[in-house]
Amino acid sequence: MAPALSVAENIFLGNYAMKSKYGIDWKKMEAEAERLLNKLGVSFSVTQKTGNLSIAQQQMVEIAKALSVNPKVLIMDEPTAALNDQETDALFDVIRNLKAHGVAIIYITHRFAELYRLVDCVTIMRNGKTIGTFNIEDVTDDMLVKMMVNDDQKAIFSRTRLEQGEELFRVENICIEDTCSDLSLTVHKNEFVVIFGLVGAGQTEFMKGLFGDIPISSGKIFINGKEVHIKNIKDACKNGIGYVSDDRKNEGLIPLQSVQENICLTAYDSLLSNKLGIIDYSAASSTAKHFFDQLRIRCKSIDQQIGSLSGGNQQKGMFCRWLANDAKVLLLNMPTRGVDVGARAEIYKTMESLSESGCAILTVSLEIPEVLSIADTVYVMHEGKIVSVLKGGQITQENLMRGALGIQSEQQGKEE
Amino acid sequence: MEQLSIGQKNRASMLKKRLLDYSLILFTIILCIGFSLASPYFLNIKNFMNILTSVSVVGIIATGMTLIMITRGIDLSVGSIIAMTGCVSAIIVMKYHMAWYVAIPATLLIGVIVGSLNGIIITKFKVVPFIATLGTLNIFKGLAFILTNGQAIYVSDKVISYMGTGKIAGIIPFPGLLMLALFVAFWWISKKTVFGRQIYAVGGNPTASRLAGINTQKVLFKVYLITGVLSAIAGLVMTGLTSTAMPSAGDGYNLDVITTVYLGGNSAGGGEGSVWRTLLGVVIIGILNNGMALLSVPSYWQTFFKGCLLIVAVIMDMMRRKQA
Repeated sequence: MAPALSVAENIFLGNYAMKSKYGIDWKKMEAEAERLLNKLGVSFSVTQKTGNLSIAQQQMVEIAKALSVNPKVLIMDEPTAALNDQETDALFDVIRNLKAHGVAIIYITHRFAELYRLVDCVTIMRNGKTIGTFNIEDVTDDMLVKMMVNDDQKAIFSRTRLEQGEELFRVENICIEDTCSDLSLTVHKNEFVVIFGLVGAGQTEFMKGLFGDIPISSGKIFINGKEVHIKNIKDACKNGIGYVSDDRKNEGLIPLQSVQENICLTAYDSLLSNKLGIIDYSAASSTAKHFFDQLRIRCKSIDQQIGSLSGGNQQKGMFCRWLANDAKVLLLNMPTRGVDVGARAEIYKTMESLSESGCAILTVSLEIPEVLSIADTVYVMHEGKIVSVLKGGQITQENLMRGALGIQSEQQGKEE
Repeated sequence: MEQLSIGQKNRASMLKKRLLDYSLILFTIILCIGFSLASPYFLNIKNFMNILTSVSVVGIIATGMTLIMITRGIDLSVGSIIAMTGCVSAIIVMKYHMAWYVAIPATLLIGVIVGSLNGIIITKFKVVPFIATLGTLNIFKGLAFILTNGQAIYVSDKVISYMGTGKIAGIIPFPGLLMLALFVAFWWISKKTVFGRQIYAVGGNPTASRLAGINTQKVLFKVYLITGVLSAIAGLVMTGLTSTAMPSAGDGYNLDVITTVYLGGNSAGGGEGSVWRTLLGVVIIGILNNGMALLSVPSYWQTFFKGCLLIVAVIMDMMRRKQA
């Protein structure tokens, strides 16, 4: 979607109605665009800029664009993600109408409620494979969840579980505008706390909120029982909070700089320089070397550009950056993303030893096998809320999936 | 077996990189040899001191411009700052008859103000540096003309004169020495201070720097502020050199400064580079100008050759980076 172009132009982008070889037939295009939008049961000016429309209206433009080629098959990938209930109803009317006119529709969703309202036939996919196809009358929530999780997924790492110690990190009723509401959790020594949810359930925003990158509208944060106030990233760094991003390349590495520079980057200002801002290089290199060795980063030299290291070693460098800054809390957003299987175990071991030494470890994960193998406590998020807290034996594939999809658990259902 | 061949490949590409790295120094030496063969006046101490004086205005500003370019920015207003600060100092001394110890601090203060203005427009209002400084280029130049009514002002102050024409031990030009001192200072700042390392980090990856707790806007603000002050110093040197303050004095200096930074092999991509490279660029430009003048190359052709050289330098830098 090109926001600065008109609605009509967006609908026919790359497929303009032509008068001659070089002349665009605007009148024809606009009339045709209007006809398509009417067919969808909406009416707004097709000459206005698309960027001025609401998200729902833009979604309609997108659908009109798909219809402009008179499709026999229409594929829709989570089309209601940005729509409210009313707009969803309108879209469903359109879809039923298209169905009645003989268009085949493939509708991709993870919202169970939509299935029962809309579809005739459901196919369950998992890890790129088709698990089964059923008529909608024949399925139940339970069946769907069972098929969506994989029974024979093995643990990928076996943890050395030590006795949990004192409370290290606690947050209460954290709210972030538009994305997170009322999130509370506690992290203890030797405890791996994992936040699990589908993509876009608010995990990243929650992490960035705790790190001061996104403003928190309300809530309290405690480190070692003492309340801290985090208004910006500097506050977070000062209070010993570190954030390892899920997007290492864009949000973590300074690729042209050496491993040592990357490790010391945050600590330069706080620990490794004097009041005038002059760096104590002997302290810097011994600090960097200490964590470099402790985390066993493998490369030719600590002076090598970090961009040339493997994903796992780069990630260890990102951990080191916060350790060098005396981090007391590590927020790890998908710490094993882009890290090969061998290096994963090392990352988990690092996390274990950090937790044992009194550093609170809070991890976001999207991967069920990872959650199953490392988590002591799982907070399951769905649409910005924590919907369930699972501990020990409660951490099962089905419970995780139910929570993430926002379906009530079986037991709760029976109690009612 | 495979590892061995990768090692060899690395060594070969390292060698190529080194060669490209040193090619500029090699080029400079060849240039010197060529000019000394072609002109009997080229190879002597006095001529080299002339070269040092002639590049000092550009060199003083190029130190700050290097920092700006490491952060992926640019400052097009430096030439106008030279003109404006030169005129301000001349007015203070000649019109209001105040002493140099008023005029020089006041001029440097103007440098702080205009540098901050660039910094604020870029960091607070998020205007891209190219546009922001294109605007202030005209603002400062306009002010220089307004203040002087478009007239040149003759400056007779001894201290300001010394800033341009003074000789230490009867031979080393003060402005050249000042420039070299600034290069040393900025090398030290860029390597040994937190601020210096943050400049490289912000240029290398702004988002990652922010998430590492660096106040990236503050770093950017500072590099524009510093360049403003350096331009004011250059304005004083220029006024001293010519004994005249002219509102049109800074014309062409923007591009000269930017050219020297690129010519030394600093890359436009940001996050890398060094003031030593810029010094090399300054030296090359100085030698070229001087040599061509000695050989009576018409000035139009001098401009033409400098343009060609810049293009070649940038293409070579891109080749070097592809190797790496």
